[in-house]
Amino acid sequence: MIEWLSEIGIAVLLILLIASMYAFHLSTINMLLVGTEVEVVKFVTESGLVRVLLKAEDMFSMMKIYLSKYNETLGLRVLPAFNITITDNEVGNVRLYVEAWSGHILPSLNYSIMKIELGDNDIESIKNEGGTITFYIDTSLSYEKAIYVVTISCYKLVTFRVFVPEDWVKDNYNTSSNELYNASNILKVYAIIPFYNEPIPVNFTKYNDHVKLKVEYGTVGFIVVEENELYFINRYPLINSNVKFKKELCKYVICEYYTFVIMVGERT
Amino acid sequence: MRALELVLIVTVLILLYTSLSLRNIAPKLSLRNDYFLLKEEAYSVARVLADSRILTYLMQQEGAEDELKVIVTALTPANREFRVRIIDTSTGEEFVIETPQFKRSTLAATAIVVYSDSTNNRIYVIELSLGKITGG
Repeated sequence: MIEWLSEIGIAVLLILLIASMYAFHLSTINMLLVGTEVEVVKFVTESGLVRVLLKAEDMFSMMKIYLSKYNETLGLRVLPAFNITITDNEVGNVRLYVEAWSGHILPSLNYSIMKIELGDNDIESIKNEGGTITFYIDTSLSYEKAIYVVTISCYKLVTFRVFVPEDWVKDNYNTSSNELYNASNILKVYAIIPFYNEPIPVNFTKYNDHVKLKVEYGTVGFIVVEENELYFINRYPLINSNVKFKKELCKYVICEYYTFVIMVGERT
Repeated sequence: MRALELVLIVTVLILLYTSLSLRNIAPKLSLRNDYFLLKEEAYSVARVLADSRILTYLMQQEGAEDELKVIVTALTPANREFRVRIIDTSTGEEFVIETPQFKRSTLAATAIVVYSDSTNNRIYVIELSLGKITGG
């Protein structure tokens, strides 16, 4: 009788041991699944960020995927290849700063800056300047409320940034279809192409609820002249949110003539 | 009863073996994600080096390595070590630049891009490795 009881006891103990091992086994599998399904990797593969050469509409669709699925979990920045900023120097002119996103300074980069002032009904004035820059340079353009288009190049690596007062910017353009929405009565549209010294007029066709633009390759933005207002539209969906995240991926992409840097990571 | 015990012991041993081997696999898979991201970064820097046509101008100059090192250092994301090997396929000449800590990298990914310089009739192979130093 005792022999039987001890046998059963041992069997129960062994079953418990197996159950505990099985539980441990399952927890290890969970760890494994967490390890393989990292959000950044999922986003990179789903949005097509595995490529380096992208089209403007690819960047637009990447932004749409981010905003619809990964906005809560990931941080994303789409920026020019270099960190470009402008400030007011002490005598009221524009001081231009350029450095790499790693914080290093690249010597003798080429720069060009276009200042566009808007009037009540049209573009009021356009001024240009260019040369070479190492970290910063004081330009002869006065610092005031205007559109500044800065282009930086290092051999054939070209990047740009457009500085526009916030109240002049609108977001009613679809990059993939080249269509403008909620535009009441458009009179003129100018394209900003950093290689040209002035904005170029754009041909457009009016439809009932939208306007279709004939976009030239390399356009970075548009100045739209409507009956009662003038505003600016970005063609590339650049994102520079203040969301804090761990930069797990920091890669370059080339779109048309321009190089951008894309930073992605899990939110902290 | 003896047979039941034997079966149970064998099951325990199999589960023990499986769980122990899975503990080794899990960190390896998480490392694979880091490698994937590092490889993406390395490939993009190599492509930018090629597409910007920097080599066309740089490789004809004296002290090309120094200027290349400045450019790659600036283009590489922060906290990454790098090693760039440029092979001129027509002469077999090799240019190697690397950060002093590159050999200490615990994880590294390499991307290879071919750049054809039609101006000087050369073909360069750009082999760019990015490394990360993790842990203590």
